[in-house]
Amino acid sequence: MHETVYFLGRFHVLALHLPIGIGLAAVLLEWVAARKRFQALAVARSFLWGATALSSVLTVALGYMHFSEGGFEGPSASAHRFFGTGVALLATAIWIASVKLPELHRPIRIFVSGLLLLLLTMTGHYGGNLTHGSTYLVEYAPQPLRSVLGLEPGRRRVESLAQADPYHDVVRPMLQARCGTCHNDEKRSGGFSVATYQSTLAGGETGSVVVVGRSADSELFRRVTLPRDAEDFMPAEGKTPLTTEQTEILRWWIDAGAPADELLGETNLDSNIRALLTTELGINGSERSSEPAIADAQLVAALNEAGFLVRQVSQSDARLTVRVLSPGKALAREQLDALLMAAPQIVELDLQDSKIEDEDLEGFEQFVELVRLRLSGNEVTDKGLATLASLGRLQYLNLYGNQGVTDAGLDTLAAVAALRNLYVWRTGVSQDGATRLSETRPGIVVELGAVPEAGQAGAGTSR
Amino acid sequence: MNDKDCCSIDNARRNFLLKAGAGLGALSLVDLLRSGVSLAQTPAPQVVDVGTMGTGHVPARAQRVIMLHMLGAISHVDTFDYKPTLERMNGQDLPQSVRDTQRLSTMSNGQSAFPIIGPLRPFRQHGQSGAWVSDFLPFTGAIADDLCFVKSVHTEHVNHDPASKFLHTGFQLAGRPSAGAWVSYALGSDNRDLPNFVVMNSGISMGVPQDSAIWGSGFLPSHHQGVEFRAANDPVLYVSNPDGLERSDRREMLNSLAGLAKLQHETTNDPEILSRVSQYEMAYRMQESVPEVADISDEPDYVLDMYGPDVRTPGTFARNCLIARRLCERGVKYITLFGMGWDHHLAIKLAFPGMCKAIDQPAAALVTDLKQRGLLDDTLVMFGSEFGRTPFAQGDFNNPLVGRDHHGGCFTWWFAGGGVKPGYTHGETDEFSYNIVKDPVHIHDLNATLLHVLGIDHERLTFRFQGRDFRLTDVHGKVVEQILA
Repeated sequence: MHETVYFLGRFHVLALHLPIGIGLAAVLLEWVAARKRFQALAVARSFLWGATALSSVLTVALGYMHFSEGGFEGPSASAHRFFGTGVALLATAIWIASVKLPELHRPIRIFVSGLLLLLLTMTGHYGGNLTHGSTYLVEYAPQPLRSVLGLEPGRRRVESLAQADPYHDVVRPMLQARCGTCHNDEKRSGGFSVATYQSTLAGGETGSVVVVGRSADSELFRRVTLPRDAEDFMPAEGKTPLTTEQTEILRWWIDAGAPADELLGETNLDSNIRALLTTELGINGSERSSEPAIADAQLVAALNEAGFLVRQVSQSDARLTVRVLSPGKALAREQLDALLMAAPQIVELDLQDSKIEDEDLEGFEQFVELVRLRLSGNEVTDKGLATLASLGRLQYLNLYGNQGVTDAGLDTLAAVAALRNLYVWRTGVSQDGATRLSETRPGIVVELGAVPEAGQAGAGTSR
Repeated sequence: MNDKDCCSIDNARRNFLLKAGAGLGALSLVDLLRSGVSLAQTPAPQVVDVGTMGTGHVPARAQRVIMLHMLGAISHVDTFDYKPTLERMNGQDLPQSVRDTQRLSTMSNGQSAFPIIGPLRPFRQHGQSGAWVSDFLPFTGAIADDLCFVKSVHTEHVNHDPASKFLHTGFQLAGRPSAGAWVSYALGSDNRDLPNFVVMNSGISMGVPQDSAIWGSGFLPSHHQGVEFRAANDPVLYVSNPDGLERSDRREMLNSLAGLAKLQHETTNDPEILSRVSQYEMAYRMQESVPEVADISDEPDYVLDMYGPDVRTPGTFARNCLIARRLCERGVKYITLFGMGWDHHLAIKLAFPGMCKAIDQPAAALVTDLKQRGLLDDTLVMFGSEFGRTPFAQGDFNNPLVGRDHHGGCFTWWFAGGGVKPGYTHGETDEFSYNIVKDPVHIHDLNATLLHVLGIDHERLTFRFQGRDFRLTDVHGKVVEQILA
């Protein structure tokens, strides 16, 4: 029985357009027919009012059924119900009057129809608040209007990551756009609203949905990352879900302790999340995450000409991965210069077997974005590694086959803040040296190789 | 419109639409403006084929894939999916409730009994992850902490040919592009002198059908198909010059041919002409690059020894693993190795030990060797079959020549490197290793994940053919996020 009622109730959102349309036509006719020229139209009056009355009664009835489903609380819901019922009553009254009292004083008729228009507008407005949230209408209102309406000022467009607020600039707009139509302060589906920081953390009927610091245990995160055809997947009913990039940001935000009302310090973000946030905020000219980002064609052409294979990181991240095209040959100074020109753009650099010596690494401190550097099979020694020590984002460093690298070089590399993977097979690095580095920097995995070179002592992985 | 356009194959309709009216041009301009791409910003042409996408939809976890396909179907119950129940119930019938109404192959559906054969050798746990691996595979066991086991792979097919095609091309009949061809089409290569997609075979197929449609390009331009490397001194057929023809003569001939091809292309705009010219050029470069990659004389003995004694014999799985590593170092995107001869309907007890020995050490060495060179990190290595084998006997349980039949309901793949979790196991089968009880992974999911690891969204990599957009995963496939690090 309940289900039938709920089923019918959902037709409310369909039927409601009828009284709006017909009612507007009736009001218009009432006003127009007052003029002599259109007097002939007046015969349709009682017909239109009848249609308005019937459709509004039907809509209100369906509305009550829809309401019985629950989940409609708060001032907007009661106002919508109040005005909606008013529309039905008034429309019925006007219909009866138009039949029984056709000669009613004209100003009264015009006044009453105006009243109906007002009621319709109020009903529609509060209904809209229910489905879209109360801030939907004025989301893009100009600042003067916002202050008249007493709204909080709109957020300034963020120009750099440093000045962005992790919650107000990133997470809240994202949740508002994808979850806010149901989980707003008026509608509160499942008792949950993403309207404010407090309400987001407070959760809904089933309890808290954000376990600060633990995305894996957070219902909010779980529900938006389920397979899309899972029953519990949010948003429900095929509404546009968060993108993978956005759920990654959400994961980061929850794990980082759900920060709000602070600015993103640039230092404590790893490059992955920086890239995601940059894209999400539309910094660097990438308007939205779905829009393609395209690397500087001149830069790519210059690198190509210098003998490098160049790819973007991804279609939405225009930073570059660069690989030497013909390993085995020494890199010329001009080739290295071309690399340095592009240095701030390069995330991944593969210069294997290119006869690179220490002096070739001069200027490599300019690779501020570099995450992965493959220097295997070159002639780098401990001295050259000093240049790399300042690379703040470097996670992967491959030095395999550089015989001149020894334990002393590892001491230099201990200063590379983000380093995680270090490859030193077939170098002068000893097991002891690797162990020492792993002790000073427990996060670094040092790969010494599984098989010892002939005549060398045992090797392995130190972590 | 001039005469040339009327005969164009590639662009006839598009040219007509573009040239027919300024209105359409204006529409496309609106499109350009809206997407924020100005003409000055189009990507620069590259010296290497970087594919139609050039870069992934999402940042890539791996740059290359090496697939080790044990063709004929390696028994998962004797290698990775350890079930004490099968040991205990050796010789007893597999309960009807487990088999239920599932389809059996015609080779065993006439049997009156389905006696369980327990694992042919004991299993033991390895490494910190405690993964169970059979004593058939001691070397693989030793690297268990580098591997991610998926125990719940399943397929729809019960015979080799459709199941293999399904695995590699996402469809059971010939004619669809292989995953390697899709990757070549999307991302090209990191090396201009070697094919984007290389295939190597080893072992004897023993009647299991295998043909080039598995590594074909289907409706994609034909230069994306896999190039087969053979065991002989001349790994790629017909690449080397015949006696008496100098390399310079070949160059001259190719230049003249390219001129003719250009004329023909101007007339017809047939994209296959360009495809063919690019293949001629690739073959010319391969005359030098292939012998170089196949010549392992520069490998020190201690590296060769890792791969085991077979590595010194061309055409063995061990040698192919070594060459796969060499191709990988040179930037080849997609390498498929077939290890053949696993179709043990008969005599599994006799044949299995030797078969395992031939692949165990090389496969483990490949992973280890990539790791010590810092390549495992961005290379996805995957090992498995088109389906698994039944826990019950095919034929008479007491006959020493007893075997195991095909089983698509569940089987194991392992993955290493390329952004998957090391020392991790995903999915679970029931106590008979017959049905999946947790986290099933369909072949389409496997392919979706493979593309995802390379940065490709399997739903967005499409090719329009015969009026519809085709995908490797058709309309299916879910990325197995749980196995990604």
